[in-house]
Amino acid sequence: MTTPPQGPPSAPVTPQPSAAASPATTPDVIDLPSGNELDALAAAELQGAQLVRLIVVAGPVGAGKTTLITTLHDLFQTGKIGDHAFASSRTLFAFERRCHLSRIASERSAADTERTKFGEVRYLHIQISGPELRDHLLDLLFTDVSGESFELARDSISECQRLHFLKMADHFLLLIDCEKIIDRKKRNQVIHDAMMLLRSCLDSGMLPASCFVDVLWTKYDFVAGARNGEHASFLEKATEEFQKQFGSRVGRLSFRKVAARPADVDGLEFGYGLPELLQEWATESPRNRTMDLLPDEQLGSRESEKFLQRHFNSESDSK
Amino acid sequence: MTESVSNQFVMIGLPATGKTSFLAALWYLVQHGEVEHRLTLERMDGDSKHLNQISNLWAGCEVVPRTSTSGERTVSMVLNDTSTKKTITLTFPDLSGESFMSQWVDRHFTTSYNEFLKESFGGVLFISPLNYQKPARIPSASLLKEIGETGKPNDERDGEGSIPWDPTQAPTQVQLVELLQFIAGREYFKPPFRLALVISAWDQLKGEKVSPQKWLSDEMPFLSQFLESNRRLFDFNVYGVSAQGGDYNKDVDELTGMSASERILIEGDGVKNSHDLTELLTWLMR
Repeated sequence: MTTPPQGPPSAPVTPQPSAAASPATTPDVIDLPSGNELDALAAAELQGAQLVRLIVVAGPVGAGKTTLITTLHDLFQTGKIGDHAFASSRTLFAFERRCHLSRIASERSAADTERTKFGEVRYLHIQISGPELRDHLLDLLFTDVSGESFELARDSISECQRLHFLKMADHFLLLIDCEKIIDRKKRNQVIHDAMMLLRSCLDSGMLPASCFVDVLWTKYDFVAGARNGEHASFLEKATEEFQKQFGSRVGRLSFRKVAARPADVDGLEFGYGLPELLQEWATESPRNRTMDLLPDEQLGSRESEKFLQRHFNSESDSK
Repeated sequence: MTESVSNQFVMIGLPATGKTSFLAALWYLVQHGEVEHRLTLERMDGDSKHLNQISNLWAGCEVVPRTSTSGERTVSMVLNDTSTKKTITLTFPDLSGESFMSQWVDRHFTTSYNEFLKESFGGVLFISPLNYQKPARIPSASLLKEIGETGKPNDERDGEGSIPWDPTQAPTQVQLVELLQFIAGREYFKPPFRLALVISAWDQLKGEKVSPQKWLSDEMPFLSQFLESNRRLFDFNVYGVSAQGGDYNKDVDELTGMSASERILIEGDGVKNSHDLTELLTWLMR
């Protein structure tokens, strides 16, 4: 038996919360989640029933922040990362858009990543499963913040205090671009800027002292490919200086070599260093607590926002 | 009195993944006794014109036209389970692949799909192994040399020499994960949702000697991980199905030399009769 398509719509079903502006609708369609980056409200809603780890990805323009996150998405498309499998994502559309410039379909001659625009704080989301996780699922929220915002925060305590999400960071990734490290004229400035950013985040009281800080030597293929022992010893000295300055001020300070999209250098595969980072995020957290990603001024009067305020703010300090 | 049950299932799939061919082969199979099959047609009910048209084409080894968005409809079959003697009414929406692509691109359901989904016990997700998009990264390919003269004209490029992002070009496995997330995200969703994954045109992969499950985990690891991680949401089984039985251009002599039902091939965990497409349906209704 066949019947023609069903007729005009009944009352529209309430759509799920969408992260960004919903597409224009006609009466016979129902909006679905946009798949775009999450704003603070959507990210807070995510916390409703699940354990979330917030990974703050910090660094100047061009350090590889977005590339680092999108490479995780790309790696999962080829298989599990270590023991961890992809479970879901509320921002698949956003990931795919960000990956476009690294795909053949873009017809570029070299891979690139769409730059994060200066403006509102946004989040990218990946849920993973793994053998050691409670209920085998864990939500990872990554900040997607422009390099300009971190440059402002580096230079101004008051600007830094605008980065409300820092207070909730489980892992703070401080990205240092090795393409600049191999340039003798720039390398001291690069390390100095990175230290100033971390200092500003701590001195402003925004980054909790319990936070795990990972200094990431991004684009490490530039150092590995240069085959110059001097670069490696520069990194060792910089590591010592970081330890001296900040080792006692944060929950843990560690250093990792990362090459998300390495050039053809021996021993550096696509996503070099990321499996170890993911393992760390999945298994190590400075605390168990609920999330409060909404700055006070963004707490609105809508019932859903009041609900979030009641249920998440009150618990946010039970660390 | 014979027990009677009704089951609604959604058929999910991007364009040209074999949904209509599956329906055509199924409608033919349940009416004929050429091969053993568990579910048989009990009686005609209502308008069968569409099913008759597509199954006639299928029986004659002719290409079954793909469903267009304007030709979408719901099809029903009143079947008898020869094992339990129950009468089963199966209902499927025959939706176009473009409708599902539109869910990914335009981010909406039609209300009719939403209403149908609300009442569905499970679904069949169709994947073509001959026509799917992989996440091809620039470093893993020989760059523009391969694109060569097939590249788009310069006036379609943005200021930095790139073709703008087109969401329809996103990897198939990502699109399919999103379609399943849309289902799982509805407020009426009741897990576990039974999901039969059909790798269509399975005859074309005979030489590769892989199981359907292995094909899925090798070729669509993102989708495979999603399903494995969400077994509490989706109770799934993977089938390799050939509704046509071969290539209508190359294998027509061989295909017309056998009974039409013998052309049907199904492979997967628990399949006992490799021609019985209804085993997939009985798994969904178990």
